[in-house]
Amino acid sequence: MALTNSLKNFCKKYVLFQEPEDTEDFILREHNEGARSEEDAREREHKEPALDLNEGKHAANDNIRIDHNPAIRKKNQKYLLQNSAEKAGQENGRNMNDHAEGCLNAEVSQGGSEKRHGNEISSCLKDNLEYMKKRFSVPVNSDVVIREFSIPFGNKSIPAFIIYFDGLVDSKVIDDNLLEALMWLPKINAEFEECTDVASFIRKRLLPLHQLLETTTYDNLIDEVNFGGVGLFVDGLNIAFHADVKGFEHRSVDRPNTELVIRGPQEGFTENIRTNTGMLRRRLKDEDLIVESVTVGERSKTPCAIIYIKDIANDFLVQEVIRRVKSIKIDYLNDSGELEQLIEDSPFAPLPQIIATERPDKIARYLSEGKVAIAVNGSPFVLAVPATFYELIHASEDMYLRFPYANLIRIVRLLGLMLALLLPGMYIAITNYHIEMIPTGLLIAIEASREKVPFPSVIEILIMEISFELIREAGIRIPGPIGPTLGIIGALILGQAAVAANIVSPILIIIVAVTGIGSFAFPDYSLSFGFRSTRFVYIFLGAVSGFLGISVGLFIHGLWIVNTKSFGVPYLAPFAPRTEDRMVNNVTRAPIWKMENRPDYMNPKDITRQPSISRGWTRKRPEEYADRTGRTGHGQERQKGDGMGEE
Amino acid sequence: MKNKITFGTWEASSVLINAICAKMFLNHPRSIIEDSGTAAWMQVLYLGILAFLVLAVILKLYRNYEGMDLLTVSETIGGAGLRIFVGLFIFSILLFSTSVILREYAENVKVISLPSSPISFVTLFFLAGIFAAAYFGIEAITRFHAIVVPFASLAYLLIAVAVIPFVDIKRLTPILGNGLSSIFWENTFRISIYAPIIYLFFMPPFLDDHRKVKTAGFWGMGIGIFFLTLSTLVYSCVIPYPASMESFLPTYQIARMINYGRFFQRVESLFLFAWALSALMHLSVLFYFSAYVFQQTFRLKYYRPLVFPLSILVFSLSLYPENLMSSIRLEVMYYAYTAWIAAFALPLIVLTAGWIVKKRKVEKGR
Repeated sequence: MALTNSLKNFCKKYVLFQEPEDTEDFILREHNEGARSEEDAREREHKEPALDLNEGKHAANDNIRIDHNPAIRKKNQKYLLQNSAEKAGQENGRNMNDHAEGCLNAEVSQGGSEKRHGNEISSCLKDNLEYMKKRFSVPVNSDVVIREFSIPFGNKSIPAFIIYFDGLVDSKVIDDNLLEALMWLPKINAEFEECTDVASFIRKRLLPLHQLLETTTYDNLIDEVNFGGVGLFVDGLNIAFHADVKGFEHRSVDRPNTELVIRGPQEGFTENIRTNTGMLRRRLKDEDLIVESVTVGERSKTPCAIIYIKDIANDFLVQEVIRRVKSIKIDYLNDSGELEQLIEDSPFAPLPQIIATERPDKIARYLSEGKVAIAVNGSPFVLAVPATFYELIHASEDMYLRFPYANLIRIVRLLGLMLALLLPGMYIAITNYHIEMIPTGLLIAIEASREKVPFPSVIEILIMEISFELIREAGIRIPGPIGPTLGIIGALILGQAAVAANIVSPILIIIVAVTGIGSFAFPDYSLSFGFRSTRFVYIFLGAVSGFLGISVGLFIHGLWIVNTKSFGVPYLAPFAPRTEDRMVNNVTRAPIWKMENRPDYMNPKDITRQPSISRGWTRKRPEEYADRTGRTGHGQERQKGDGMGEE
Repeated sequence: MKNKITFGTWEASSVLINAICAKMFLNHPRSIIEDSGTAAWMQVLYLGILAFLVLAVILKLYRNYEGMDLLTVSETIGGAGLRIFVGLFIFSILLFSTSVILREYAENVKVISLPSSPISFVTLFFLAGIFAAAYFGIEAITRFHAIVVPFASLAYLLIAVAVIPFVDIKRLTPILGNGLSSIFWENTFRISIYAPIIYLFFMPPFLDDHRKVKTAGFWGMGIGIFFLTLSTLVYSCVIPYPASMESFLPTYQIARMINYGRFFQRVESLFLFAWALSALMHLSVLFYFSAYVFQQTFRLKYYRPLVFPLSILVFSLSLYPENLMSSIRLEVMYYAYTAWIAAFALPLIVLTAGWIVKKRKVEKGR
């Protein structure tokens, strides 16, 4: 039955080319009030517990389910005191098993009303301990630490335990701010004995941790512990505390590896999501910069952040990004590269539809233009959507250089792009079908160099292109110090030896080298892959039917690209379809003071980036100029009586 | 829910510009020169003005049918019967044109660069392109036009500029060529060179606003007239009159004359890109609208299932003529005589009928 359905769907889609009826393409509409109300509704309906992925930041308290019901609190308190009374006659150093019996008796005496059900935390410490051991596979799991201790309560004591992963936490913080505070402070704090709400007292008076939250469910607590938090259970409380005490090792901020620039910031994102969001906040310094937390991965619960500037980014776009990210069902998410593949519009499209960058300055610029960024914990590449083709060929440096220089390097880059894509195919087409194009002198040189080569030119070029790809791939995988050696082997020995052995012609080495250099000129790593793989198709087409084949290839390739969308934005916008300010910052770049608007195809809430005259000093208003400097705009002398003039 | 496909004025204009001008890369000025001799440019301009005026009248009448294509308009005026009649007539013209023009382009490319390849092999390349285009749909086709048409136009202008050293104005004499009647009266059916304007009448559902339809139509027609007149003028000035009737690829012939120094001698192959892309765009529009008109004629839910059978049909029909000359003869004899009926006469008749019916209704209402 399933096979029949699959066959039917396949026929519908690929044989009959029927449009699927149940899919709805996302189109980025202009912002309006409807979007806001939809967003509000989303917030109301789908409010998820905030993630505490953070170092130094904390989630909003209203997202944490705290049991504030006074009746339950009173019952807990009564149970706690009863337990304490039972313990009063016992020695201070009794073990947990003894206490567990008391705990069980107390539960029985209360008709079992405090019994844990499902995911709710029990008020019985023994139950909690057993449950946590089971969930964390203790003692098989060797890096789980469970530390049992007692909180002094006058001349009595309340049993408690903490749980954390060794290697994820800062043990000094646990010792100083948690264990010491709970084991010593109650002794010197007389108010503790008289307190009626132990949980509140612990949170407000005992624990000097900047981010201490309460939870009533095991799952919340386990998520925190899995991500470098510490869980605290206290006997008699049907809540648990968790605190952010992360202390794991991570890479510090360093230069980006794939997007180096000469002019511009030299820092790149790291694997730590909070460091990354902090870097963005530091750059933008805007309270409207929103960092929404989402977890992806049923098991990995990878913290992700959806970042946008709320009064610039289009609400429909933000909703769509959140919808796509939240809808993902996957067990483990390790990197933003995986997320990119899960949320892109067309998985079979030849080019990437999402920008992935290591540069905070690039993401900050995109956010200021109305894009939405997605950061994934554990990945130094932050995603930005939507992406257009022109943005993928921009480098950060383009904006930091004066515009004539930026235009020059953009044209050079476009040339590199065309060479990387078409040069081998064109070479094959010209040498096989359009020899008349080659001036006689050059033709003689080419033919003379190919005279001793036994292969047809297409085989010759395939040998060299595949060898080049091999060298490139091996160069990445090979251990660092040997990398340059491989380059020398590849470039000199292989190339030179191949020519000397008459396997390939010298001119072909030039063609392959120029193609390779062209492909390195792409600022985007994924885009480079897109063109590198497609050039083999053009080699084939050039070999089969010359310029006609390449033209047909360009036509179909072009249609495919033009048909692609990235989060509702056509891939070749603003040229196809045409929108405003095409020539400002796409193929070429206008002077920075002419970049008055944000990209129109983004439909941002606020289209204006700067006024039409952004360089105020170019306005020669004599009176203003005189007020500020004591000189008129026309270079007149300071006016008499002016304080500055008198100096 | 399916999203509505829309595109802008420039996209629509560029489709019309390419559709009108693509014949420059076929046999364009030669067939006109055969009619009116050295005054061919005048005939092209005259026919252009005439086509422009007829278009203005059609668009004036069209304003009451905003957002409707010609078939829907026909249905509104004369019911399903008229829609099917108009649809089938236009479909047959479009399908015939697609197969004939496909064969012509394939033959030309075979002559230029693939002389030893069989014609079916060359045709298959074009067919692959138009098949893919029809599959991607009108949105992708128009957007591709929006990007490529400026470059193709630039390529032609470069040819025109590069052959300036060979221009001799005296070749335009006698100024009235074969006589006034051959320019203005006898060959008026040659208005078919502007017949691709018919695509405009299927674009209103995608353009939303009647003003956009008007703008796209006038710009497309205006720029089309400019390029066709320019190409005729350049060809007539570069190639002497008797020789100009012998070339089956006039623009290619003048491109071959470009010769700047020792290095830039045979650059016409580079223009093959512009030609092939222009041809593929033209054919893809023809083919897409063939499928679209068939779909709309019979109110089918999808057009994509038609793409494969129609492509087989077009391929088979394109192989029907024996050789290039047969296909040119087919185009000259049948296309030129019938295309203007579909593009100008039929919409004019349908819309005039609609105007009369509406007027009568208003009078009855009074």
